[in-house]
Amino acid sequence: MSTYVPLWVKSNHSFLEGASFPEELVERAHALGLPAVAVTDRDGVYGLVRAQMRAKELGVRIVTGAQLMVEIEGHAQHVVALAKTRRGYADLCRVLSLGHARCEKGTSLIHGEELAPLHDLFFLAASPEALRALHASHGPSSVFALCARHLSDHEKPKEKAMRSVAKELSVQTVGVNEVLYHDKLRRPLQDILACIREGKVLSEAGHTIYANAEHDLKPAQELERLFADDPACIRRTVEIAEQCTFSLDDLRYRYPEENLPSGHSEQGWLRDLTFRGARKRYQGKLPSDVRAQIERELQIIRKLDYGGYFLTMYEIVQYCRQRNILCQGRGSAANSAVCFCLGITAIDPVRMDLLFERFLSVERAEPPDIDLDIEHERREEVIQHVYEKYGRRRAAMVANIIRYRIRSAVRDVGKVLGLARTDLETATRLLRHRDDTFNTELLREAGLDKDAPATQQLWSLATQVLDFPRHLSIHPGGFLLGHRPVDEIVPIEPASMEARTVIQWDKYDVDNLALFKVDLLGLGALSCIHRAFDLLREHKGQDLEIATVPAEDKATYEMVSKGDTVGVFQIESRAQMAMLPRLQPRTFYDLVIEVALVRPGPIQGDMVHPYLRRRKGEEEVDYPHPKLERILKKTLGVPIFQEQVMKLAVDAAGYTAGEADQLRRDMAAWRKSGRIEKHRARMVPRMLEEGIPEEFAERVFSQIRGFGEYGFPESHAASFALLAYVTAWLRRHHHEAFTCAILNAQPMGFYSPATLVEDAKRHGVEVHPIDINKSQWDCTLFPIENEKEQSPVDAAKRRLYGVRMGLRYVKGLGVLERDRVEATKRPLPNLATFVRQTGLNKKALHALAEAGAFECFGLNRRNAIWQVRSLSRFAQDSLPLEPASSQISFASLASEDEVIWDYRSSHHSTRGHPMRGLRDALRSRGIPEASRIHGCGHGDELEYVGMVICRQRPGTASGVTFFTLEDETGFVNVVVWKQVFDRHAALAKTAALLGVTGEIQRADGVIHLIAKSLWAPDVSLAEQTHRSRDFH
Amino acid sequence: MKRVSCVLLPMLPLQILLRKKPNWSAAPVVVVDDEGPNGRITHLNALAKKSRLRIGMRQTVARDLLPNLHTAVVLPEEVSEVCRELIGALQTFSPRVEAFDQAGAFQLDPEGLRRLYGGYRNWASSIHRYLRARHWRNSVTVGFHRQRALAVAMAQVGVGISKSADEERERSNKTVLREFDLPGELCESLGTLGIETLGDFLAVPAGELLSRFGARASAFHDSFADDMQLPIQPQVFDEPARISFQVDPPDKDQTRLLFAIKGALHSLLHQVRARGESIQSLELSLHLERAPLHHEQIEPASPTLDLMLLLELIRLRLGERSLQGAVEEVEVFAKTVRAQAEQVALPGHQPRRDMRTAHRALDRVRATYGEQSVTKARLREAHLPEASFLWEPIQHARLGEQSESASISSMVRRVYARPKPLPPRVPKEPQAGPSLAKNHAIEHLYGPYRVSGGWWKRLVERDYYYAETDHGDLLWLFYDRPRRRWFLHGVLD
Repeated sequence: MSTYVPLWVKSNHSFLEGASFPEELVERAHALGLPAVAVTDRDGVYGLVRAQMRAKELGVRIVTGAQLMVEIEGHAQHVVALAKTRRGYADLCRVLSLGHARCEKGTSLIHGEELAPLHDLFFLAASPEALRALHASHGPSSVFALCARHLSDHEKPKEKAMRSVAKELSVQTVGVNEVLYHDKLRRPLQDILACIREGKVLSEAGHTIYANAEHDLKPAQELERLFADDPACIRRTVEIAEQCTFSLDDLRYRYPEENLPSGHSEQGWLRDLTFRGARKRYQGKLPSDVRAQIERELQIIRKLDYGGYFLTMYEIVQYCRQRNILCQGRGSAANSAVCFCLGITAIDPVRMDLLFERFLSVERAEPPDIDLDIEHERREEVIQHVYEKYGRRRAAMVANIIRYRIRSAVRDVGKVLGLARTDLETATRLLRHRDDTFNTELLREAGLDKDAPATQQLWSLATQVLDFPRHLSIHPGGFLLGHRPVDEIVPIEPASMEARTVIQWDKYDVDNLALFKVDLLGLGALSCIHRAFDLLREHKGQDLEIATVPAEDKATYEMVSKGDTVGVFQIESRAQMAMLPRLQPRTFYDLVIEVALVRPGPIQGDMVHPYLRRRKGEEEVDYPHPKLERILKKTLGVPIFQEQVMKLAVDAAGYTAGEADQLRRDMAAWRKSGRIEKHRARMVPRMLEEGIPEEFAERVFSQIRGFGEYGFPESHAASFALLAYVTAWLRRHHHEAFTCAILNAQPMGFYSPATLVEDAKRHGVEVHPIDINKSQWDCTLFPIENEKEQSPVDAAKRRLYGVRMGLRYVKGLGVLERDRVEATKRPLPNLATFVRQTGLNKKALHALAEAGAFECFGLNRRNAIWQVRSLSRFAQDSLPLEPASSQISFASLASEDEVIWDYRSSHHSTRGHPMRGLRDALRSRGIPEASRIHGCGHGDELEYVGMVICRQRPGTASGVTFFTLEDETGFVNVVVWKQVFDRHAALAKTAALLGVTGEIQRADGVIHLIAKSLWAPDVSLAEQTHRSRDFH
Repeated sequence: MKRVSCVLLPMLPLQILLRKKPNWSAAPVVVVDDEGPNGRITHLNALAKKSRLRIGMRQTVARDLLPNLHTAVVLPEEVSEVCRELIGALQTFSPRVEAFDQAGAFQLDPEGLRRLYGGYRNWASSIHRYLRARHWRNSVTVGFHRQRALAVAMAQVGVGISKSADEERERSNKTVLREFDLPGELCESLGTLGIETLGDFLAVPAGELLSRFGARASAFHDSFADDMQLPIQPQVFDEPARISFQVDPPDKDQTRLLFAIKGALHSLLHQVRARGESIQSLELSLHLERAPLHHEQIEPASPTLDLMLLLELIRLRLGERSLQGAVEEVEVFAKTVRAQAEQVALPGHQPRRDMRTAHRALDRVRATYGEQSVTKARLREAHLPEASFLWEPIQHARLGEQSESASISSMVRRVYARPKPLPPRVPKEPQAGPSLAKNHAIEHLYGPYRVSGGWWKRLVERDYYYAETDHGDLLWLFYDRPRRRWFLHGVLD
């Protein structure tokens, strides 16, 4: 039996102080034979869950606590607090929340008197002042004098003083060392972390770092030796630990009850709402299979007591509806008929034959996971509503712990080691273009001597610090809600973002403790759809909702099948566009497959081509084993969705439900590929035993590995496919409203506003430039005059509305300028009146003049700039006096320059495409435009010049970079192999205008230009016009 | 019409950098204004430009484009230092040299030595060749207007002589505005109006510029007006205060030497006083007969014109030296600073300690034992005892500051400058304890107090102990773990 329990232990979740993971500390305690170990992170319980999870596996007990910063007699003092009971733990969390609330992010200060009412905690006071104060409030039974011996010479007098006060107050001493790492080998890393925290370099660290390496987790014998003069104070650690009976397993979390109408139980009310919704969904005729499904789901929900959670989601969705905020549930929630009937999701799981157990099962008894997508511009309203409804103590956002990655590690560690910042910058830049690893070649390229001690230390320490927490951030939308205040489960602290509070645990911790999380996520596509619906209602009198958009529209599928999907949610990327003509979607389910197919999972699993071949009838649909037919029938024998892979694991590899669930969790733990690898040894042999060919088994496993990167469950793909269909329908039938809406919902999607405008123009939409007398802040629709309507035949031109670009696109205008312009009654007769009435500053006026917004006053852009530079001085004058000045007349811009100015001042041009000005020169050199390239044959060699609108190097493409080039007639997809890219790296990375010599590759109606060489066209235009969107 | 000349070393900071790092010349190189990722490019070479880098671009963006880009900061002090040297060099071609505000641009009066060279072109070519031979890229122009001559120099390479003011005007008007040291924002604003060259700019009425583009634009415009051309303001020759005399016959006797130095020093002080300066330090060079040159540097506590003080310090210094030969010649250089008028101390506010006397005493100690002989300890934050303070030379005595901890009684440790190794003992493990000299035994050992660190440079691991001997001495010892040996680091009072 050990005589010692370490009671003052800080993990690396004491940010930039502790130098060992919580798991490492627990493992070390286990190896030393210690029965328990405390986790007392600085000002919080950040590392507690991770420690607890590992401790449960090893059979070590965790004593729960924290190191508090307490203000006593005007001075901040360290006190270690340990929770005796559940109540003590709740008190600890609450008081930490108070401490954080009054301090800036990352720090906490608790007032001494706030500890007075907390009686279920032990306090270890580290100073005589703290000891006196705590003794006065708690008496001697809960307070101990902390004596630490790290072999430092100034500890001795301090301990003497502590012992003297302890004797005077009859307080017992406890021998405890501060543990910052599990092994002495981590001492250098602890020094580094301390320096990073204080912003110092090692050579000047002084007392920022400790005098020696005695802050490790020591065996009991060493502590006994250190405290040989007072063995009782060591034994006391065990007594204290035994009295601290609280464990995280004791957390009895209850989801909040919703306010229920009188006479209703939670379950009864949920049932009422569900069937009410079902009648609406199915127009009063509820099919028997749906009814049966609903009954089954409600039964499971009642059994698991999850009714409150569904009611909360329903309430949030209702709130959104009332406020006219578009929202839609996604993820596995779309497998639930109850969610569908409550209006949380938009997919009918019964009709789609989706599996409810993927969402909720009695065996798993895990909290359900509903992700609610909300219009991105209005998500904050919903977040604040949740805070308001549940209160700040019952609702807080889940944290996202920012951890060291290779680049931040090199930068921070290198800085502390005193390496030249320019060399470190070079090293970190080089790292960006490589795998997330660290090698000597890279150091050499960065100009660092790989054999120099400092470089070797950099290498070693930066590797050690990888994945260490650096600071706390906010999860994109995860909320923790509680029936009891959340701050009794985990401390809440203010986030850096205004009006947000965040708990000290991240989503993995929340999952591990099976707490309920509500995910409120922002989605630009919903903002776009909402805006488009509003425009249709306002201008065309069409009142649409997502559910009422005409289904299975042939024209929409025709457009989609051509890969003509710029701006269409989820299927607009280059890869999706290339897939669409091959897949030729004709039904909604085809879109579901399309969305899920172009993902790392199916691509890495080599599932794409077999599926396409089978779909086209080029390959027979067969199944590796007869019992897999049921699972794979929907996707022609090829596993595409995450659920299928899980079912395969169960049916073909004999996974139990628990193992399959573990597989799902491991797939969800993004990029933690190590967790997925262990399934290979288990799964492949078992599949072989079942008689499944090895090649198929390996492919299934490759796909699982791919899902570890990012894969879709069927329900999730269906939710996204619905939005894809709606946006495609809008684009096909109301391109002007769609363009206007998507331009107003920016930033979102794959393409820049310039590309969206060009695409609309190519589809016959009239897009008019910014005009100060006609433009609103947002882009607007305007009726096209009658004579234009009667103009010749082009079908696209029969549209009734054009798009007027909004002032939001003028670079340099913000909220203030928006208010001023909107408050001014327009049209105005001249620039002077505009300047006087709006009172805009020179910068804003200059931006408007540069964008050509004053052409309505008969001023070309240069003359307008000249005038505003003078008039802006009189912006605050109330009298309409114009300054006397000589008006110089400047030449108008050439039309090519106008386009350049448009791009420079508003990132787009309605007046033309930058390539149009070059067309004659290019044509004379025999360089074709995009529309002609689409007519070229397979194997044709040619040169092409276009604007780079997108560069993409997917992780699944073995270093191939895909470029999308654009000209006034359309896009050309260019494939650049790694060796070609490396040969022209600078040009490939930077060129806005790119020349390509290559060969046409044509297959299934999809054309790619395979680059043999890249070159800079001999034209100066476009240098400043375009910025591509790059994805690596 | 009076002629002016301009010498321009374009991108001077970049040129300075490439001289320091000649092996970078074949690679893309940029000068940045800050080492950090947000530092902006201020100058770049042709290879960097070819790689699509631009002035004003952030370092982080530039490195994205060119991961192996060479970057460095060139400090303004370095540029100033080079400019000073260049002015000195150019003064050999014309006594009247003025530096423009723009780094690397100089105005010269071509009239001074022109006749020696046989015309403006030869004179200008000589300057060009001189600088080129020293690896400075440069252009030299001779014209009629100082600003226009600079503008012409910007637009050309090598030597250019304008034959008439009209020709100079025509050539300078073509110079791109961005070449001038104008704010980038101003150039950009003017560019939007199509004003790209100097000619475009000067065509704008001067009166309209101030309100629209600010004082800088207006002043720049004015600087090209013929009637507002400033005359050259040449750099003053910076001649050191110096005096020398022969000793004939060579003499070794210090009294006679001092007497001779006194006379010379008197003249030197007269020179310095006339320049409104005082002497900060003296450099004494004694040319010896059949022996190497003997140097001495003497520095009073504060700048002075006190002959007797300086002479006394020289006497003390020479008194400590034995010269290897008879002195043939004496040179005295004075480093001077501008003289400060001393504030008259108010009666009754005299400090109780006479600091002037203290300074004089320290001066005398330094003069006698060398400049490093007076030092004070500066405390530093460190765990290793010998690293926790630093001896540094001081010039001035200061009144002692009352230390807050002075009242706290503590043991005084007298620390050895180098820890003394104690006799080795077998076994070498720390448990064996230290062995002291004969007749001394340790009665009590208190410790250990462990100090370890410096792993990034040289690992130190020491276990410190306080040892009480049978003689009642208190010793401060440590066991050095890497060296496995005991050391005595100090004794306690």
